[in-house]
Amino acid sequence: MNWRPYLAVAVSCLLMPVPGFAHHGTAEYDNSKTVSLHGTVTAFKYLNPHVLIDFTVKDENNQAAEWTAESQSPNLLSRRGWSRSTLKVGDEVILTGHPVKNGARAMTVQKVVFADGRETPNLGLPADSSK
Amino acid sequence: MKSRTVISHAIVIALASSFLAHAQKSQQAAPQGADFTGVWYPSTGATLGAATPDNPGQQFVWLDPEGKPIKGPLPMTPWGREKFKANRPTGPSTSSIDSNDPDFQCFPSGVPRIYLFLYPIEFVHTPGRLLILFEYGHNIRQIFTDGRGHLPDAEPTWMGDSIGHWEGDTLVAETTGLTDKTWFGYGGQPHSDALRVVERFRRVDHDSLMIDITLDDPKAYTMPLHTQKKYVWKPDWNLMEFVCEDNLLNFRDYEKKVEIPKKTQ
Repeated sequence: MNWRPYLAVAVSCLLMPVPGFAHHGTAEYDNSKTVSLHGTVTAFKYLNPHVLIDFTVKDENNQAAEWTAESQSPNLLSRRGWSRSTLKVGDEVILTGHPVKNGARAMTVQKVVFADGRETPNLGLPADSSK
Repeated sequence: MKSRTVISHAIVIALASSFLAHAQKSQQAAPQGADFTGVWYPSTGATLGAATPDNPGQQFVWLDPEGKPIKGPLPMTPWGREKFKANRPTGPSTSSIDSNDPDFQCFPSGVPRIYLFLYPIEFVHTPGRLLILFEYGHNIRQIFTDGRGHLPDAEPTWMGDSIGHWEGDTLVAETTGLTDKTWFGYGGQPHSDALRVVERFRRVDHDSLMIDITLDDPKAYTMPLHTQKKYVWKPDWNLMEFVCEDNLLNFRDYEKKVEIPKKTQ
């Protein structure tokens, strides 16, 4: 299954920096690469220590590949306006983030928008925490 | 008329004395120091110029006793360097799952590392004691301010034995009895169980709390180390549940999936 043609290199500067995870490191991700994937949510796991979004991406032959995106903890995301129902199974989304180094279909996600253009709350740290 | 004046003066004096005595008593009963009550979030701002875009707020900047930033590795003793070699922090070729970082095994982070996690903390004042509740890992510290000394011959613990006193509006806390199993940060910086941590907590303005931290561990380091951490007041927040062991339930499969290939290690 060839999903690589569907990786679009996004413009990194559009992304807000998302800090390293609290519970485990970020060494697994290639922060020098940024990808955007159009997919369909198959599971939204709003669980500690980190939220996982499972989604499928279709290739040129309409074959679906299973992907997983990791984000912050629900504690941090809920303080930015996320909840366990922000994403639902079947939602069409575009996820932008850094892929893993080992070639697995996984990424750390920095931005999620719905295919119809609606935005989700910011995935970064709570507002004004940098003062 | 005259006697009435004398009586009214006497009443005024009596009332004033009573008021003054009461005021004096209230003053004596008032709590010492400042009030840190509430929930605070670690600032990701550039405390001591610490933050980097990749890792804001998740590392300390260390200063030497003269206040100069320490560049490169921390100044370890031969004992400290040996201990450092045994630590496997995450890095370009070391996955979380291959690291022996005690944090990844859900052990309490110790002092001062607990301040590096991007989760809020709460201060609770009680008579003779200040409690610090940490959302991350549900750790608790209690700093005794009732004049007691350190526990004699105490078995080292993950969060140590803390006693404190007020110097004006600054709480000065000394912590000893820390296990040598914790690190100073994600970089695997070690310490011994002789570590002595002195923290100075001060509300530098209404919304900001600064913690000045000095670490003295002559067994592991050739000089005392100094750093800072700033917290921002969050009046509308409550602490939430964060159970580290959820990682084992929810996340191990994912960590295996994203593991850095062994051949590059």
